[in-house]
Amino acid sequence: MNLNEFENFIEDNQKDIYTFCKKLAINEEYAKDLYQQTFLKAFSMIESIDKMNNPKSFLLSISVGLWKNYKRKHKRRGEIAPLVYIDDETTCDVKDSFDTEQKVIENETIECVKREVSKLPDKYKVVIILFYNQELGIEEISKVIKCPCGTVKSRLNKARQLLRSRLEEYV
Amino acid sequence: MNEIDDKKMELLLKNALEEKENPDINTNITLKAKIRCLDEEYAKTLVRLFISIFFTTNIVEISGVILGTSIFIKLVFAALLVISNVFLIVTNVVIINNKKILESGDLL
Repeated sequence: MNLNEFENFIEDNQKDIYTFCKKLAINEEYAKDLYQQTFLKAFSMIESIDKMNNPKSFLLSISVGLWKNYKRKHKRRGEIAPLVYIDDETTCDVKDSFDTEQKVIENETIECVKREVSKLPDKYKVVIILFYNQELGIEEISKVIKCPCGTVKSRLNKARQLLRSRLEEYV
Repeated sequence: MNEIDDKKMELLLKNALEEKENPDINTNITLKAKIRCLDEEYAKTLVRLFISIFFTTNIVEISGVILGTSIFIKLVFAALLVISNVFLIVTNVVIINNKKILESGDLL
């Protein structure tokens, strides 16, 4: 793969990887850093990229590895001064909405789910994002996070249970 | 407190997490610039490495030819000198060609 091909490779996968990084990251700046580091690391492993064999999973596993390293390095710092998680701007187009109240409630619910997902313990958050956002199957997730399929399934169930118990207070 | 069944839970998670977004253009420009720098730095490092090997092996082998005690040792060092130089020149040419191919793609 040469530079041009790698550029096309970035174009093909940028949306998925950026969204994944943004969901994992604690703020937008770190999401951009993680996104760039993922492709820089992929570039240094350019010979290992197999275009036919799901390169998206390969990139996602790099992102997960870099994110885990970052979390480990910054664990102590987080204990001293906890970082603030991204709170997406809630946009509600009131003018175009026929049922404003319904729209506001829907938006609030979505924001609430996003907030609760971001508060999940890391091991549950990753599988939930990979399953619902990246639409990966259990087997693919197990390859990305390098865990057995059974572990992925149990984490997914546990994450759903945690979210359900927290969301029942709001919804 | 409302009960959330499995179906509703799935729907809530799908709705909340399905959206995807592209990175802004500046992030991508910076990324591509970084990749180009990384690539140039890699090629430069390789050329530097081969130049240093080239000089080191030449010095060692020329010393062997000059200081060799018997004609056999002198011949062995002379043969090594020729082989290693041919090998290093060929690899340098390959590296420079690869670098030219890489540079031909206008990344930015």
